[in-house]
Amino acid sequence: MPDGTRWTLALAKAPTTGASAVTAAQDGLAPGIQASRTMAQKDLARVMKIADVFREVGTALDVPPPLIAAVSSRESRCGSVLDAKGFGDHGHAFGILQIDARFHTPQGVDKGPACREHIEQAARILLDFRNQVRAKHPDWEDEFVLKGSVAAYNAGVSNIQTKLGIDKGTTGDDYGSDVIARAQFYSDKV
Amino acid sequence: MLWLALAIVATLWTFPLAQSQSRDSARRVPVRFPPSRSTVTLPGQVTGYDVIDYVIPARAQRQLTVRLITPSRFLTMAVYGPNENEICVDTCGDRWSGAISRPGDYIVRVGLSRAEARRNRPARFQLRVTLTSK
Repeated sequence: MPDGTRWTLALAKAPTTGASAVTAAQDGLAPGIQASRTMAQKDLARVMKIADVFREVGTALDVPPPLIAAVSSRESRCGSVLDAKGFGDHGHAFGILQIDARFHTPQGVDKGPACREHIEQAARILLDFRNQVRAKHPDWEDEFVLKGSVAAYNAGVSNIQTKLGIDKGTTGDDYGSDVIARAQFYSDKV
Repeated sequence: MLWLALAIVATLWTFPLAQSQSRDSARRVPVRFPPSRSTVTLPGQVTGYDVIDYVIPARAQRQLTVRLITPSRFLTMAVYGPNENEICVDTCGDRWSGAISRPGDYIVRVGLSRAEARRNRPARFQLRVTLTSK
């Protein structure tokens, strides 16, 4: 099976409870999968403007494009909450995918927060995390590896310890679930 | 109107600083080995978005090994070569070892994941650094 198909299937199968009460409250919503889908829907126009880049980068790196789009929705509402230079999180992270500028040298700062260089850098980080979660939990099914890689993007690989506790300690205690639910919403669009 | 003008000037003055504060604000700790010892263990603590840079001057033909010892699940370690070339970021885990091919200052950066940084809780750790001849 081509790996592209493999991780797309994993995304479709990944378990999710959607946004937690903390995350959903940011948009005045009740917690759950529908909250994640509603937030993803609100960001859809911005996502579709760069859908081609998500597809090209995701296909090249074997990271499902809807997953990258979903991370952009979760991290920055696909750019709508960034400052004029594309930074967020009190200046500590760059771009629609919020590369941590304390540890990485953000790519594409001169080209803007949604440029290909930035999206490619973030997709590589997601791929690195997926490989690390696979190595750390070789007995996990793909859908948990994928969800774990997303949670690691937010809270680090050390925090990914059990399937049931993947989101424990992530922002809002829901990062993996929320992103997976948003990605499943984008699956037939990006 | 004066207060408005002052506010605009203050905003313009501080804005570029906000963009570059992440790395520039790293606390730098020079790593020194006790006489005739090749290993040193350094205690540390970070809170919030703080990062600490441990600076290790290394000559070529040496083997550098670093190990992060901590009960925290949220600490991240990154290793950079001379000129801050990324050797491993996000992929180091709690241990990295490699041969020094280029002499210069190697940096081990320790900080919390952004999820934990936002919670502004402290995390203690020890960094064990070993530098040996190959």
